[in-house]
Amino acid sequence: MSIDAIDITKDFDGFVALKSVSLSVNRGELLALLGPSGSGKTTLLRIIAGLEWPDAGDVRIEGKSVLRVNARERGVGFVFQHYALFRHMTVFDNVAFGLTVRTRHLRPSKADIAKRVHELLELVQIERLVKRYPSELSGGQRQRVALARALAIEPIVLLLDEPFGALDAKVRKELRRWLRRLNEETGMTSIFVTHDQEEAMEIADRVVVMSQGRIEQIGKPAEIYENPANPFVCEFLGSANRIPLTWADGKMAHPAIDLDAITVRPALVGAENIYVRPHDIDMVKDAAGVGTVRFLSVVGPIARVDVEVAGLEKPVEVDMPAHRLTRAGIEVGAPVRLTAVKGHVY
Amino acid sequence: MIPGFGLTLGLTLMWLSLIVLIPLSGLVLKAATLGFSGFFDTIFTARVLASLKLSFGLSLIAAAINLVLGLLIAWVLVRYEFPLRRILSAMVDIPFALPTAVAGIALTSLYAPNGPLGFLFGLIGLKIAFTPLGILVALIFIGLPFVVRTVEPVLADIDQATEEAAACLGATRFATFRRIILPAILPALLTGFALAFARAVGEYGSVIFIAGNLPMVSEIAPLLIVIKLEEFEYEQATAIAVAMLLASLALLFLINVLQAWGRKRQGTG
Amino acid sequence: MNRDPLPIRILLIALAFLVMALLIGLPLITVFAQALSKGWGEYVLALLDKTTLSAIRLTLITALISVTVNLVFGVMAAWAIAKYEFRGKSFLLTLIDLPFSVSPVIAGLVFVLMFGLQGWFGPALQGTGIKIIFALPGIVLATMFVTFPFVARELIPLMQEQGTEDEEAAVSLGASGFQTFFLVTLPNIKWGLVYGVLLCNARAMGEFGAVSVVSGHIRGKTNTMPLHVEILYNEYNFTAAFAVASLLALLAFVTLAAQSLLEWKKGHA
Repeated sequence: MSIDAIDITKDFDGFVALKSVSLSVNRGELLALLGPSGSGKTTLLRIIAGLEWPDAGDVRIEGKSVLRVNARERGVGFVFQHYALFRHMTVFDNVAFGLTVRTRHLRPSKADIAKRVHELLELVQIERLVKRYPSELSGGQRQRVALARALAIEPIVLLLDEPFGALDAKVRKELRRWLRRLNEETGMTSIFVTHDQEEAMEIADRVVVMSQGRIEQIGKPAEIYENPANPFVCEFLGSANRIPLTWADGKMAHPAIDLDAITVRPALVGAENIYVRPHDIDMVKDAAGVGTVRFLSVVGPIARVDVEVAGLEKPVEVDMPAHRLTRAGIEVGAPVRLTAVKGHVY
Repeated sequence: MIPGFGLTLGLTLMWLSLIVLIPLSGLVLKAATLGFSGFFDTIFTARVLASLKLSFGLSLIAAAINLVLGLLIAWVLVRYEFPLRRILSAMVDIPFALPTAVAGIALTSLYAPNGPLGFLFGLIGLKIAFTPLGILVALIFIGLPFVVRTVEPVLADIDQATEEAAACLGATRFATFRRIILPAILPALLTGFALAFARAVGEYGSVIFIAGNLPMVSEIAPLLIVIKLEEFEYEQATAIAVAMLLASLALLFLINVLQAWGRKRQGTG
Repeated sequence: MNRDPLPIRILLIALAFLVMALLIGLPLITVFAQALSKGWGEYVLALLDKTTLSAIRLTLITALISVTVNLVFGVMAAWAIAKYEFRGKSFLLTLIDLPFSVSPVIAGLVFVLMFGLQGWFGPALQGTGIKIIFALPGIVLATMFVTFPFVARELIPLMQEQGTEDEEAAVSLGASGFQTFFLVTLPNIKWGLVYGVLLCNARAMGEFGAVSVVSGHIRGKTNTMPLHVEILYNEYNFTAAFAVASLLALLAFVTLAAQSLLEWKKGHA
């Protein structure tokens, strides 16, 4: 199903959670709402689900406004951040709940409900836990129950609020790949909220970056990473060194860092800063270089180096393959020369 | 290891024995001297049976009414914001803190035929004070806080998200209440019910003023104990007391079972 | 939190206020209205009556003794239960709670059976001339029985929540058991302790059933305030009865106000 949020504004007692936000979600798409806490992403998700009402704007599913339809009738599958499992019910009863509360003429037979529950538990790979209570499950297992429960009502769209936030790293990776596969196999439109850019980049078809109640950028993961629309998006998607610019004859420059390799569109001439990612900086040992290595650490194959540069408050972060670091003879205290090969000018 | 285990536990056990356990066993020993037949002969007299029936029957009804009223008040206190909410909450504890004799005379003068409420009920032909109905009013009064205070924390602890989850899965408000909220608070409700019931069975001070104390009609079991004592019928007083004590112990056991069940249901046990 | 539709919310809140007003508000108002029905002069006169003053004195003495003793043993019981693990702990907890589920009348009866003329120790006592039943010691004993659990009950959950790390740290730094308690534990539990003492005191001053059985109702001698209320009421001296009752009601207010204050303090600590 396609979903359109049009000009949504929401205010909580003076705190503006969303400021005329508009968003279109295509049929079958897996979309990530990415942003820091307080950016309004969860509020937007809850408005789409019918758990919250916007002060202004409209929500349309397949082109039809659903603002007069409450959560109960909207047919949306919602997976809560802390799962919200029913503690006094077994896994089976949790998953079956959405089917057993239907009015009599819409309710499947007991046998059909049991069949459907078992199919779903098979899908989320926890069939053997059918008789357990939520308190007897691990975090990952609870998440799977929550997913199966949401899927039981054959929702028109699946909404997930920080679905993997409370899980440990390994389970998180496994479950997000599983979500990607589910989306591909069922073709169900899915939206998930996350503050983890890696999670969003890895599995989403498109990412919506939000901040302070506004959408900063919408695009495919590679697109927004390559061309962040503004400094916020640029910095939120990964670390970046902010370097103030001086301009001469339409060419940008910095006294300590070589920027000649980067070309700038004429419209951006005169901009204040360039943002350069740590791995987009080349570093060579050079007695005449103006940078000094202050700190370095090797994390697996990557070497992280802090270089102190005159005129910059913060040291410049540089990432390079660890083997090149040793070959170049770079160590703490060594003088180095820095060359930026790519950057974003604002 | 923190010092003082032997000292504190020893003194606790000693004091518990002196003040509570030995006196209570004295009661049981006294009952034992009656023998089984003596015990049952005492209990199975019309007047004693009538008083036990009255005490337990009215306590059961009062606790059931408190179940409903207590849930209503706990619900309102936990889930809604409104003016005077704190006052309402503080008032719930009045029956805990107000001496029973004070409650007794206040309720009596309210519900007596010449009192304001007694007069109103009299207009529809209902006599409350000096009838079993009056006892019921007093028992509802003293039992109310038990249900409110046991249900309140459990109700507050229900995750808002579970109710939202139920709504997203298509449950109506009523279905959410019946299938999500009620099962979650059921152990607390029943615990509050049992506590209110146990308190009502033994209640004396607030009841005797309003009861009328008519033998076979409105004479509660604790009052009959007092009457037997005043008549120096110690054996009979003891027999009634033991019968009530056994019922209280059974209730206490039930309350413990209910609380264990509640902890399990909350997923913390 | 307000997920219920507005009409339902308003209806439930109104019902809650109605229930509380009828059940609890009106009786409270009645106490003061009746006490002051003949003006302040009569009110003060009733309180200054010699037998009233002696009842107040007896109540204060009884409360002072029983609260002090229960405070000491309540703290010890809480220490033993909260700071150590041992077998039979939950059983001990049940025993400490036992007085809550015993009818106050039975609490009085057990001491009559122990120390009364026909009681286990009655004959032995008669020789020594020591009077327990129908005298202050009996009143204090019965009051201690019914107020036994209050302090321990308030402290145990609090001390369990705080664990044993602080005390272990103190002991490892060389503190003695008493130093550990007074310098480390006590500051952490003082508000719970104050609250427990307040509740214990309210019950001690207001106890009716248990004291009624052991007191003998000797005017000016073994009459506590609640018993005095009963006597005045039964003599149809309503103004005086409600005047004394109003003092006890004020005691309840003070207790509840202190409770609210302590809760507020806890919330803002």
